[in-house]
Amino acid sequence: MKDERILSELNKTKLVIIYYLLFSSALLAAFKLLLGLEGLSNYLVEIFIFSASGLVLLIKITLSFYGRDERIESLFAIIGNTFFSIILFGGLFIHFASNAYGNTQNYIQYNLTSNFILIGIIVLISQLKRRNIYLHASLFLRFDSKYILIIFKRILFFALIMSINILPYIYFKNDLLIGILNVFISWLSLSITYLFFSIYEKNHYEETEMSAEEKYRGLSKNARLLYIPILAFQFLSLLFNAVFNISISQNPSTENVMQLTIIRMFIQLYGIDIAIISLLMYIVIKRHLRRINFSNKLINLLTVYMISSFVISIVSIITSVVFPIFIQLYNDISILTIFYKVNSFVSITFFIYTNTLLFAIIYQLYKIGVSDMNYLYFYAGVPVISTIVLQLGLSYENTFSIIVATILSITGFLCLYIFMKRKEDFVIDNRLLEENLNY
Amino acid sequence: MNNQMKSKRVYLNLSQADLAKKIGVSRQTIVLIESEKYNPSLKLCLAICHELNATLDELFWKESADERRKNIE
Repeated sequence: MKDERILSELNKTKLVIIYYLLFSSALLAAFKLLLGLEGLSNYLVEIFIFSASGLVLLIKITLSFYGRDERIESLFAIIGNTFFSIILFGGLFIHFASNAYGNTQNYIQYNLTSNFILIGIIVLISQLKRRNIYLHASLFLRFDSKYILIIFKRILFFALIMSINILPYIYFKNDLLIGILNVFISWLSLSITYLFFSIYEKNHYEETEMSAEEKYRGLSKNARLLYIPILAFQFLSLLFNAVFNISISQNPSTENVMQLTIIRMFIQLYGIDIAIISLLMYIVIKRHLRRINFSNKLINLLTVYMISSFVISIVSIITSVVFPIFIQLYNDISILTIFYKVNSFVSITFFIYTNTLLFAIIYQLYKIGVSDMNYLYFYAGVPVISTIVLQLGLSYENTFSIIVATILSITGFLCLYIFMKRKEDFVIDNRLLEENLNY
Repeated sequence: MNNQMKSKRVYLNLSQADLAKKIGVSRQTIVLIESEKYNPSLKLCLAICHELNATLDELFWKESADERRKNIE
């Protein structure tokens, strides 16, 4: 017997995602217009998604005139389900077809799409959580140990569907090698996202079931999972930084510097995704600590830290990406002076602010007691060193980034270390336990 | 809270997970039915009744305000 509650809640979730796609396609098209992208081929995906999801909304409005009727609701669920698949696979196909025809994709366009996909995933996670369901619930129940194997099989199936996307490149007689590379990169990024989401769901499910049996993990597995892309980003950026410096010292021509600067900007823009993932990681840690009734003061401090570190990351990306664009556009040295003045002011303010917060957190940690330094070296040492080296290379003109990134890394990983260290000493509150048992 | 369903399940020494497995739904669905946060379909109600050896009336019938008043009198 299929779980009717999960099916009906999944249909509602799909509908929310369709509305999100309606909104984001309009916003993405507006951004592209602002960036000055011309030609219909650049807007084909947005037009398709906007029309299809708009049609679903229109059907919903029309059916609402008939009042609440179980039969009409189930009919609409079928319509919503069908449109969801059409939008997903159709959108993907048109994306590649338009790409093959126009071949005008640029870095910022890729970046915006990736930002919207990530926000979409977060919307999906919050919707699933709100409705007490899992996208892969049937898989957990049926194939517990073979779950990851099934996910990998699905990823291979995606590869099969993706290979069809190479056809437009052959038809439009565009560069087949670029086409294959384009399709492969998209498949890889989508597969990694799907794999992470699947592991996230499984971990969440396991931890919910564990809490029902009065068992708790010291630190949520999902916090560690979300830390992987953050660490990967730091090391990949570090690698690029090395290539950047070597290449510029060997070939200091303007063309080479410009090309590498554009790629650097592209990498820095991915910092937005990483900032969002970091925020998600802290939310996971915070919710987990609340569930196991951890010190309230530390949880509150973590909340302040979580919000401020997100804001600081975004501000940091804006100062290192948007300001240089303005300088280049207006070619005015006075803008550069303003940029440095604003940057210095922001640096000092944030330095004082984050330092105060850091000491408050450290004081709380001191009250709990830190003793094992080995974990500290691993969780705080390695990322801090990589961050400092990365920032020194990537934003050598921006001292603010170095200071803030170092402080954020030290504080964040100190917190992580403490939460892991305390895993044996948690006191479980019976009242909280009963609340947990309700889900 | 659907106390009838919960007490019948406990009486038969079944955990929420056991019952969920027998019916083929998730444990959360049983939790939500017992806490009256989800209205199951007739098909699911019958499956639960079958597993708990009870009738629909015993597990899911809700007295109206009039009936309750009459019973009290």
